[in-house]
Amino acid sequence: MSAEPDEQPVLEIRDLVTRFYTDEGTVKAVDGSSFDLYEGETLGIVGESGSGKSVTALSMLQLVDAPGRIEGGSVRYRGDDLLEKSEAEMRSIRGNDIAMMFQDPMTSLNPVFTVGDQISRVIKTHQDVSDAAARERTIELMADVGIPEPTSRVDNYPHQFSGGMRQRALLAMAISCEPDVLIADEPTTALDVTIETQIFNVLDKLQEKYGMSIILITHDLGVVAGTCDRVAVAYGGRVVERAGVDALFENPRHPYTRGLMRSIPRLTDDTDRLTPVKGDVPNLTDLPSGCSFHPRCPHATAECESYDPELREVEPGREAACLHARGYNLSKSALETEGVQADGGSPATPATDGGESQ
Amino acid sequence: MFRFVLKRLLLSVPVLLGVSVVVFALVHLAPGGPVRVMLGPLSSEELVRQIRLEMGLNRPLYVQYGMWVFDAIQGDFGVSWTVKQGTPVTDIIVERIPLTVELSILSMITAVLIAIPAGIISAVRKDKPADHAARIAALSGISIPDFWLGIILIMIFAVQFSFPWATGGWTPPWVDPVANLQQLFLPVITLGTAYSALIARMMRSEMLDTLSQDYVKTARAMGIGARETVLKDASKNALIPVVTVIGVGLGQLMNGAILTETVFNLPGIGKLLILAIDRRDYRIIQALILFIASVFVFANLAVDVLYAYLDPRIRHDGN
Repeated sequence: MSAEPDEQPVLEIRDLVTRFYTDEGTVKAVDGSSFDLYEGETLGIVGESGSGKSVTALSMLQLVDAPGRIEGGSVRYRGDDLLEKSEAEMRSIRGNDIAMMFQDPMTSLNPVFTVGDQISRVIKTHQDVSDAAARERTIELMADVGIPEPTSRVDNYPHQFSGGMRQRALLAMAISCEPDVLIADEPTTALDVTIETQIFNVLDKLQEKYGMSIILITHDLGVVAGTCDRVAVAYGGRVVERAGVDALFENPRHPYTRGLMRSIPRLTDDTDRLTPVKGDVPNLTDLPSGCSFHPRCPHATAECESYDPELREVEPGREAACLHARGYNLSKSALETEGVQADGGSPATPATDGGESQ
Repeated sequence: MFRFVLKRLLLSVPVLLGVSVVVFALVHLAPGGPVRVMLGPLSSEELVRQIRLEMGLNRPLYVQYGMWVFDAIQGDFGVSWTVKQGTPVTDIIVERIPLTVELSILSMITAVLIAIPAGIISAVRKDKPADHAARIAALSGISIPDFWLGIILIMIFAVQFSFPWATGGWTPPWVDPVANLQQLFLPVITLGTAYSALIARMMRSEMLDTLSQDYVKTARAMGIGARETVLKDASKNALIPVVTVIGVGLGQLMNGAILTETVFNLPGIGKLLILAIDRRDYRIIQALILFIASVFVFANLAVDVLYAYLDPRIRHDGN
């Protein structure tokens, strides 16, 4: 299941900017994020809390509430820019073509309606089917996601479900209209590890059955290694590195990615301590000048303080946004004028990675 | 559910008994008495003592209470002493119940019909002009005392514009529905205002809470329209605590009815209570307070039953 970057991507996000205008100032939650999602692949978006991952996903579906505003960029879904769609058009896309599930299964289901009603309601919103047909389909979906005894569980209320079962129900709701793209925002963060594995197994099976592309938002590199084909690393509201999952783990190019890797415990190491990325996540109301990672970066130089590096190809099939990343070519003159247009980087050659992820 | 209701009904017995003790004690501890009212201030001490003896008011309080409770349990609240001498208390009260019930129900319906949409709009348009207007109106509504609002309404509508809206008295709706509504129009507004403001504020804050819940976000992400998530997902959850306020407020309405009926000269239970207290008609006071307490108890029971209907989490724990 490796990515096939020759094809046209299903989703093409370019320079997405979303800001929140609060009393404390303007929060640059998403500050020029760019990435692609290809047919049938699983793309991991990793980053610390507050790196703008969730807002990126919400922006793609135009679900950012006031005081947030999507200020620029494009989200091309099969060629059409979703940011130019009307609310009515978006309604028919949400849940139908692109579905999204959220972090906390305990609060994501409405407590006063039955689980079955909530799933079949999505089906009835997007398809012209009878109540009975929708119910039947709901039961099928519940079986698909591994909810035991779906014929009786369909009439249960959310509080009668465990956390893992609720996340399965939400998954059933998300895939109910067989979307092209499923965005899963930290789908297992609130669950324990055994349940996490089960959910990912179900997700894998469903991906195969329905041929969806998945965007998996997580802060957990372990999850990424186990489930994703390609990875986008988010920092300070944008993507700072994109690569196939194997290439990324073998040889991270961006210092932030390297820092993240060092903060994961490994069974093979005999070090006593983990090395966290020093410093704090940048305040999104007041991002540092130049490269927003420079205050925490061990390799930062004077240029990093003034020049804001865009994402560029550093090797066929992978990109990074760091002046000091190996393969990041930027002439002195370009540095001075800042006028360089990186091609934004749809990878032109097949990636050399990703063959063995599930 | 049946067991639950039965249990609650049984539990209401000690509550009502407690109420009866307190009321009985308070009424008898108050200075003055029915005999003085009947005979006037100039009557001789001798005569007063003699009548008190005849009425049984000289016996120990617990004996009087025991006799009263014994009769009351059988539905006999005795006859009125001073309000309408010789007429059974039950008859006097029953005759006046329809007015107060109609006034309370109309006020409640009006209040809910105004408050729920106002609360929803206020929450959806948070910090916009509509929200500010609704909040100012609600705050004023809560702050203005019932009786004052009633007097002002009478001054504006009945005195200034001479609308036939504050004539006093009550025509039963089955006799003349138009006259009935005319008589009750201003009282209903007076009584409903504070109540409505209370519900609107509650509904607003509950809606603000439920609108930001993950399930609303999830519904939106599945392609459900914003309007539907407000009216269905958020509202049904927000209504659960609001229903409690509405139910408990029913008791408050009874309170308000006392003042409103007095201001508008409506012959309802509230006015009767004032009259009975004025004339120290112990039997009517006791029976009325017991009646009002029962309304409280049953309103609360109804709220709990409704609560279980609205909130599946409670419904299933009960079983």
